[in-house]
Amino acid sequence: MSPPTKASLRPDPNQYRITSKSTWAGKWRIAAGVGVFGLGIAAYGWKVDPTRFAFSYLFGYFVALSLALGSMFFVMVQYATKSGWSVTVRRVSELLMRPMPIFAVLAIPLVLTIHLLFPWLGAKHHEEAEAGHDTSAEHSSSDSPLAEERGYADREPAAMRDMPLASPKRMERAEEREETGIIEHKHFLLNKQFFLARLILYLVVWSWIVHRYFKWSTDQDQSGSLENTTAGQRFAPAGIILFAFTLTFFAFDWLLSLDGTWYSTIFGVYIFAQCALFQFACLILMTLALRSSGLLGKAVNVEHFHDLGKFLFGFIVFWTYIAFAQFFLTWYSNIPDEVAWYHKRWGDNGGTWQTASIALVLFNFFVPFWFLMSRNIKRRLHLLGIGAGCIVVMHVVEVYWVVMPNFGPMEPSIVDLGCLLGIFGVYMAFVLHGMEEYSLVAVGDPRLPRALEFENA
Amino acid sequence: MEEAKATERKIAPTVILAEFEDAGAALHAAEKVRDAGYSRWDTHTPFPIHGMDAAMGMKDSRLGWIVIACALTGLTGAFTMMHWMNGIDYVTVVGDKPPGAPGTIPSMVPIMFELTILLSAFGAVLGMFGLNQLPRHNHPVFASDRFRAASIDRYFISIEAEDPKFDVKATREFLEGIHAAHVEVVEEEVE
Repeated sequence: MSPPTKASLRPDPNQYRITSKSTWAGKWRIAAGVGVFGLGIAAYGWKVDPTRFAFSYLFGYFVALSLALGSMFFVMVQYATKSGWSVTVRRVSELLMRPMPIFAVLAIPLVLTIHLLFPWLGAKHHEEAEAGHDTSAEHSSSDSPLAEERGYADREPAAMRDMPLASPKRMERAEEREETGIIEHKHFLLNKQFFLARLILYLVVWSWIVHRYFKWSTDQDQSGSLENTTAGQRFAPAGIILFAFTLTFFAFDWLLSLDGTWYSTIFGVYIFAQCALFQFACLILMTLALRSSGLLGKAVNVEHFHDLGKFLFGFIVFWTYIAFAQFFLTWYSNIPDEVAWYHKRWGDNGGTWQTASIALVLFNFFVPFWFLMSRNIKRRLHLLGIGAGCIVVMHVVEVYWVVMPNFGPMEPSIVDLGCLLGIFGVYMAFVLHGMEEYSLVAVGDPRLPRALEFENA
Repeated sequence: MEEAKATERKIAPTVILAEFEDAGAALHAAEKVRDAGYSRWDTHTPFPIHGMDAAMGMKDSRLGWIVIACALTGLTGAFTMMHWMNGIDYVTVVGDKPPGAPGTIPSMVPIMFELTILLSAFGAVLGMFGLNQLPRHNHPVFASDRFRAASIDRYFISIEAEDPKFDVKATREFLEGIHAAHVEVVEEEVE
């Protein structure tokens, strides 16, 4: 027996690839078919009810985008922390973030329907459109708001201004004026040119980061060079800061400003928590699926899943903390403009969103929290898969819950499903196609042998 | 005078130390000690060895149960405290949110959360000390000079005299039989 040479210590670069005989070969065509079918339904929806379509499309778009963004974050964090354990699962995340540039193309319908989405661009949603009718008639008949006589109308909250003569009509009118005031105040951020310029900026930054990391990692498959790893490590802190700012402002732009008057400084973090949580759940399910087909060999074992499970559990707690903090501050101060966001998801809209609100508390926190707490559950892979599946479903519900109440009552339609399947299908087609082109494990990473031996103490 | 005193005291073996030169040998020896049915024994290595938990036949730590008991105590304790103080004993209504109504539970969540975390942390730290029988001032293995290498480059298995299966001669032979590089019977004065 000859002593092992340096080359033989390196894993075979083709060890973890989807071959033409594998059940995964050509699966991207199915995803693409589902995607095209879904987009067909979506196009039909656009024709029938453009406003409904715009909201449904934003919902589907963000579900897919949140997975790509969460994966990008995960990859950068692994570089920033020089993690050894995660090398075996990192490539799956890299493949999930890879189709980032397609979101620029997929954003086109959003840009075309932008005037139907945002109240600051004149969009009238269902309820407002109905309520707006009689208030305008009231406007001309009586016009003596007390606060204007006092001379500080612009500084007083609507509720106080009309206090002596509080009548539902007056309140409504005052709120409307307040709303216009708030929207005018936000004009610097919320105007069409700057808004669209920012969208382009986000997509360019994200695609650029994704391109860099994907190239570093896949080039390393052949070369095995350490420089790629160190380059990734050097860029990671800057990349994470860029990600934090772009995601925060994307959340403000496309999700928060659907309600023109709402303020929540923590909203960006809240959306980030969703992205990260969704990403961990999808990474676990994806890796489980690849592993059960034998494509990952012995590269990913129970220790890696245990760590992903810990991350999943940790981010469930993080999501709960942030989501509750946001709710708590709004609820406690009880300012009309702010609580409106929660009212839409509880009592307003005919109370139709209550079920979804309760479901979020139960199945995005309570049940998975207790379920995934134990080490033994996280190490039993089918149980971990059930926990991750619950989070995946609830993330879809949550994005729906964030976007759709701005449109109206909860009335799920085929258009929602079409948009979700359409965008997610197209996205997954690119992911699955990428899986056939590249190795499923970062075989060139110098830390791979260490990751293979990794064990939880 | 001093000599006479020393002879009066009884000197007895307290622990037997088996020394190994590499991690693998210690790991396999630990498996054999486990299979031989010893209960009061431990391994001492300069760094954590993967698979040692299984080799020693260690069960899951009971610490989690202690922590969750503390956590639930904190959670319910905080709720009961606030509910009794602000809702029953001296009713305080802040911001039109009367305590006791189900709709005001959110205002209690921060304290419930904090007390849960606080008691969990206490439970985790103190429970860890308790389960490890800490703090203790000394351990019989420290009487051995060779044992100092346990934090440098040697791997030890120690079997304590309190183990029901302990027998100086038999245990010594057993440890030599599992390829220990050196076996030392540590003796100390006992009262």
